[in-house]
Amino acid sequence: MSQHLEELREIVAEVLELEPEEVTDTADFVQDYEADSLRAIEILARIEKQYGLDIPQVELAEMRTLKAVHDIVARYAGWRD
Amino acid sequence: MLFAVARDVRIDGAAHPGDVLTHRARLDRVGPAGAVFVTGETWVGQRRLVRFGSLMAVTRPGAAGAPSEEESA
Repeated sequence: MSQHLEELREIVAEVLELEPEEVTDTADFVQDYEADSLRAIEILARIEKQYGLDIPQVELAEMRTLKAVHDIVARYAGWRD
Repeated sequence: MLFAVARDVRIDGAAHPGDVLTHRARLDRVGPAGAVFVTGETWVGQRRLVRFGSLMAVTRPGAAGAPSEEESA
């Protein structure tokens, strides 16, 4: 299992105030966890800080699942997970 | 400006009527969508009352926080 994916799961879980095991790869943050735009911004900000990235705000709309977050972050970070 | 989130808040003491609270804020970073992340403390004199591990604030258009006609009636 990708270490990066698990790190992102920890970040998302902390922001959404869930246990990491409750955050599945494909659950929709809004529909399944009732996340709002502020939580999305916070998730993105934490990811940027942790990995030293600058991800365009336009990507926020696509970052609706853990898998989507991982795929987008991987693209900007150059991960080969 | 909208105060959005406070995390890792530790309360060390209480304030009382008449106390002058001093808030010391350090801008940690400016994040996506102009969100600002601040750390800081609140003091009364030499007594620290609160420590904030992280505060997040965002700006929203003025109309977003204005009461509706029903609310203001």
